[in-house]
Amino acid sequence: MSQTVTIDSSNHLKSLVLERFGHEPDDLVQQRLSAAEQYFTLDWPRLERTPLKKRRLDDIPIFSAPLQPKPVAPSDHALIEIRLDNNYLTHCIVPDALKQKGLILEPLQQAIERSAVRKLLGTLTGKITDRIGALNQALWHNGVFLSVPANLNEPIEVSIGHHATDEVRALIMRNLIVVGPHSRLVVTERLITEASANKMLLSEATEIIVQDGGQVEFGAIQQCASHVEGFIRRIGQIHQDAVLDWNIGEFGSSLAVSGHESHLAQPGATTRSTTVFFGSSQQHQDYTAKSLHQAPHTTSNMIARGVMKDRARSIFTGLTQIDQGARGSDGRQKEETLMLSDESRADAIPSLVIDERDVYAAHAASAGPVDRGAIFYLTSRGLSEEDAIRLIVHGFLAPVIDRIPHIGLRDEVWAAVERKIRE
Amino acid sequence: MASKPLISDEYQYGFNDGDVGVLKFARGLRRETVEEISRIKQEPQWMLDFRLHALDVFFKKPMPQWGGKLDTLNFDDIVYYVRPSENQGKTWEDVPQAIKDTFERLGIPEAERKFLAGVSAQYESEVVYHSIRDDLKDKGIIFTDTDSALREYPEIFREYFGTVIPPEDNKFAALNSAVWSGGSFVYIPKGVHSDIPLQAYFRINSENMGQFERTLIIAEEDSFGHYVEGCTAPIYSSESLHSAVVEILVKDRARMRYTTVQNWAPNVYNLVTKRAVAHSDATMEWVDGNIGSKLTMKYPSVYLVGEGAKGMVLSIAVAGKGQHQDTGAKMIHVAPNTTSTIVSKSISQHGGKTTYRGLVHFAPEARQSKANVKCDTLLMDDDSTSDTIPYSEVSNANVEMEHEATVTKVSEEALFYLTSRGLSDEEATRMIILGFIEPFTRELPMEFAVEMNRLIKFEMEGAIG
Repeated sequence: MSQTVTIDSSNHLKSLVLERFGHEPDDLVQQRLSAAEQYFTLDWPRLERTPLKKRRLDDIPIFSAPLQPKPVAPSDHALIEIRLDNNYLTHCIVPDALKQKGLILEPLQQAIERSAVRKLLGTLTGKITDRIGALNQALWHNGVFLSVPANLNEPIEVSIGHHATDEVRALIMRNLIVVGPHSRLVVTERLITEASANKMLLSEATEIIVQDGGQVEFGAIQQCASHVEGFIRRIGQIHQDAVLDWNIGEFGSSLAVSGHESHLAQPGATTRSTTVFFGSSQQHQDYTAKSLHQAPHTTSNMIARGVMKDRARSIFTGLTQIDQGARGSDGRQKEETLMLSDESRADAIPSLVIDERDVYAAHAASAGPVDRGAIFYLTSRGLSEEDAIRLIVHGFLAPVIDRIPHIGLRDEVWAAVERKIRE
Repeated sequence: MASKPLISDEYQYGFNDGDVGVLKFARGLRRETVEEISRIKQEPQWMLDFRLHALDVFFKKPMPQWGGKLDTLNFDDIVYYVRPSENQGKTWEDVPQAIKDTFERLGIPEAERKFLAGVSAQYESEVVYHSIRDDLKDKGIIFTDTDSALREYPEIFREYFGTVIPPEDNKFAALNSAVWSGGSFVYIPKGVHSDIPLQAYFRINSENMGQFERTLIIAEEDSFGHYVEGCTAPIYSSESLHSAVVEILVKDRARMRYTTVQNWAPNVYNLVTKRAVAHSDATMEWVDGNIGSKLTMKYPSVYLVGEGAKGMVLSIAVAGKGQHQDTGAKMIHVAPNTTSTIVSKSISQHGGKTTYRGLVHFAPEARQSKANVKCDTLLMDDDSTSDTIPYSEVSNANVEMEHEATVTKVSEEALFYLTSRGLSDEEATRMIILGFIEPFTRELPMEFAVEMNRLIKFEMEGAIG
């Protein structure tokens, strides 16, 4: 069993931080200590539509010591793979040829020994504004540093796996990804946990920097068990003529407060995002996607489709913000929800904040039921009602799931959808 | 290139008539202020109790932390009651000359000459002129000011007053409930159709004046009515506050339309709560034009409580220099087979800001219901901004909700096409703007469409952009 630690003051938390992370470079330890100070003064995030009080997050023993996992065999997801179990590195495979070209993939804990990495860490996540932010900065333990050198024309494919066994009470991690000019990267993150009777807190903060002309496909699939309370924040900074694509599948955990943010920081930057979510039983999903146009001639296109069944509740907030001076920018959003149950609830808030005249911005949102006519047609052709609904869900999600360019991830998303339909 | 404004920023109704009030309260709001208003109006005890309760609610509620900037609004600086004349005029001749001059300049008697069904004019806190056409009176339609209605029709009044918007609804509804004065009361009996619009006109004249009119409209079963209001105020260096409450009940199979062309001076805070309840197969339509004011926060709403009820909001917002139009609509579907439509058109220019803020809610009971929302914004220059914040809440698997929005500049392709056909840039731009707001102007009664055309003056020279 894991050792349970109760922490009741910032001094107590600080001594825990020193005990666990005191060996790290000084500036980082100072950062952790200042975050520990804020942990007790800041509250849990205040979310308009997701009350956190009743979820008793304070009762989760998040300060318990991480557990050493058993070794696991490498998967066949990609040639380059890093896997972390219960906050510890289990393996990290990088072909020598790529190592020689300058590709770096390692646990972030190891990478922060270099001051250049420490300098980049936290530049996108910014100031801590709530207890989750403080917790993450004070106690992050695992995560990945990935650096792709400039001018690698062949797309690099990387798989990141985060796993947790049923004994783990908190998974607190940070990822930092830097892609050099004109290089291409396809990275896929998988979050998987074993089921447990005890609540687990998941906190992820990921920063992605795509330098001039770089092209990145960031894929993520979250299939945590129903004891997980998840907080995921991913931010990308996109430089001149660079592209960042997000392909996100949100399926698991009991609470998922999750989101991605694209900072279109330099002219010609582009982002496309595809989010697929599927809520069932009593799941609560609060997803936020943001496209921030900070430079001229930037484009964003955000697409989300969700299916809601049972008593699930979803909130999808989209924000397209075009700053003054971001001339010739184009920002679009489209959100659609298919409702399978009368007990489920879906809110959509697709907002536009436009401070520049010479732009095009548009959003569309819709929610609708399963077409009874289609069900009648299909059942009259001999399909069971269940199969008919399954076909309709497939038809609804296919246009977005098939946008996911990475075939492996696409198949995994389809498999997750299948599982949710049968659930 | 330097250019004249596309839509005139000059406020035409910015004159004032000096202080014409016969009774003006000291600034600030206290319990005594409310008691004094009620005493002057010789109100029944229940209304005084209602006001005092609302005042408590007002003091308790915090200022809204969303929407526009309210920091220069000082409740202690406002005059809560100004009585402009001793008596209400029944004919135009009875109205005091100074006030009459104002309304002449605004075109009120002209409107009556055009055979509008009824005209009511509110100056400061009280209704100063009121008239209704005899044939409508004969049909049983009641159109009077709200204070007279409380005296003359106490039963109907008490049955419906405050039922659609209770004082607890929001801080400004509470303020209105505490200090309300004037406004219109409309009652359309069962099966009666009022083919011609009932019209009201509201004007603030004094500096730092707060106008708190309260309108209550009841459309009985199978009836039809159309109510139209307009608003103006002079320009002073300090702010005035207009905080109205409009409650509408649309009974089974009735249809009601409420049209507003709000053209307050650019120093008026316009914080208004407008809500209608639509019963079975009833139709409620809000046609809402927001051109004036410093800050408007107004979201006309329809509670679709009866099966088959329909709601519509058609709105236009124009924000010029220093203006923020934070407007939108709310559709609350709580019964089966209900439908709603929201069409919002916004234009931002000269550094103005428009915000569309809307809500479409489907309760679990709202089976087989539909909603359609469309918001379009035109940004005319580089200093102007626009936000679109639509909320949709669906808790039911048998509804259809659609939302669409765009934010663009005037299309260069369209301009090029029109100018290549021999139109000047101004003519081409005007044509594009008129086309953009046409879904709105087409729904206005003739007099108001003319008024709109006067308000939206296109005096532009040279190319835009």
